[in-house]
Amino acid sequence: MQEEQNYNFAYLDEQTKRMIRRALLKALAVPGYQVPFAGREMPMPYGWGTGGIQVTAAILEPEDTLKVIDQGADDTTNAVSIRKFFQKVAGVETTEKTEEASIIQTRHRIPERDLEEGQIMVYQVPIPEPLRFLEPRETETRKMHALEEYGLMHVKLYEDIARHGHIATTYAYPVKVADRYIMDPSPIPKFDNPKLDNSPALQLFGAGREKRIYALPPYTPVKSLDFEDHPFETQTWDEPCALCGATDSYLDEVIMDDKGTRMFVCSDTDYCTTRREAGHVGPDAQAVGEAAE
Amino acid sequence: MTVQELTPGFSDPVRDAAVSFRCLLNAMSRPGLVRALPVQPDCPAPFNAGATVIALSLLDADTTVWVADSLASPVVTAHIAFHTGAKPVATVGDAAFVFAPIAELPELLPQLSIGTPEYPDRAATLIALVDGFGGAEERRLSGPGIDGNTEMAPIGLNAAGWDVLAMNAGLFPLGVDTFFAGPSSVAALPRSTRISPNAA
Repeated sequence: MQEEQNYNFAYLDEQTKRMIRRALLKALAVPGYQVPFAGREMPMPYGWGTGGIQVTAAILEPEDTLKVIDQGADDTTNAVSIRKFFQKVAGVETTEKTEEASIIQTRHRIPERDLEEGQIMVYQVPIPEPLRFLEPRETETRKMHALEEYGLMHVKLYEDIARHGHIATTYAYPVKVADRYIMDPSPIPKFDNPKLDNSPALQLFGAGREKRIYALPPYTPVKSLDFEDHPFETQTWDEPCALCGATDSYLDEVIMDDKGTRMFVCSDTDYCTTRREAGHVGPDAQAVGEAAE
Repeated sequence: MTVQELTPGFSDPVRDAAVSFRCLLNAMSRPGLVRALPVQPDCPAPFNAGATVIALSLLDADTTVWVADSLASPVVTAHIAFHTGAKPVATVGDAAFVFAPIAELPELLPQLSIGTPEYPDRAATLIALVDGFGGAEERRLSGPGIDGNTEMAPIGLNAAGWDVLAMNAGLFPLGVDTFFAGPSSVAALPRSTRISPNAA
């Protein structure tokens, strides 16, 4: 697609980009710490990834190949509109293939395929402060981070165990970064938390409404909070992906009709498609194919 | 100072700033790894290309800057004022960006802003001008951004300089973040990087 000539490259003006770029460098120097930045209004509402878009716009260079996913899928509204936005205002190449992308902007998932050195993940973050639902005052949470006073978070996880018998937090599961800051990994399922740890890719987080940026340099230790007698666990499924048969991916539940029929399929559409193209077949692939005809 | 004496900025400002920043982002995300500069702008003497690229891509009217006397030639001062508009400050501890030759690092670094416990991001960034990498004093680095450990030896960084940097790392999460700016490359040493004697 032809770059729209009436906008500056990647939409933002140069001064805004420099402001975000300076914040990103400080975020990298203090991994997991939330750097305030002067978030701009974007041509889409808060909650649609304005933080991630501003980070992507500030780091983008013309040679980049951009992939955008929403809940693992490349073809949902949010992903399609952000991809088209950058095609229009930056003229960059886009892709749906994880391995071809130099920058992957994501809402709520990390691709199943292992990320590589040189790749950059940009996360869209709604509430960057992991302590916010425990302590509403910014002045207090800031002090708690400064003093490394994180007992409250463990109390919350403990109350989960007291009430449910296990830690019931399933997404936005808090992590400790490089043994210092507690960080909200954005609403990724806790299934994806292990992928944050020691990742070869650079991971950047942007919260547009809350105006915070934070970062994980590659090869940074990221530990999901837990207790010795209640170790961190990820979700598991009893069945494989109905389409590609994968047993190692995060599955979405899809309702098939009004009689309660449901199927489980990979949330990462690129991973599922790649596997099916390679000849992997899931238990329901036949039935779905016939239903579509 | 006449217009003719003013060194030009980036030849393609938007693109050059974008590729330069990616180089700096990559440097800061992988401490100790030396990154080749993607552009070679005209440099106001005695600034080298690394310092020029950092000034042009990160400074603007929202930032404060302090330049060491040994670097603050009329052409450097004019370059920063004209192309970036960054506010010069008299006290080095008030500056967000500090440019100095590597030889002045041991004396200078302890005077810089290290941020506050609530706002560690308000610490200074030191841009130390070096002749390159592969110097005599090598140290082993580890920490976020480093796969295991790595070695670094900016030319001109002496033992006293390394001691000051190691003390700075001990202040984490406070502390100064340093770019080593060479004539054709840059490397970064954020406060999060731990410094230990080289095993060799």
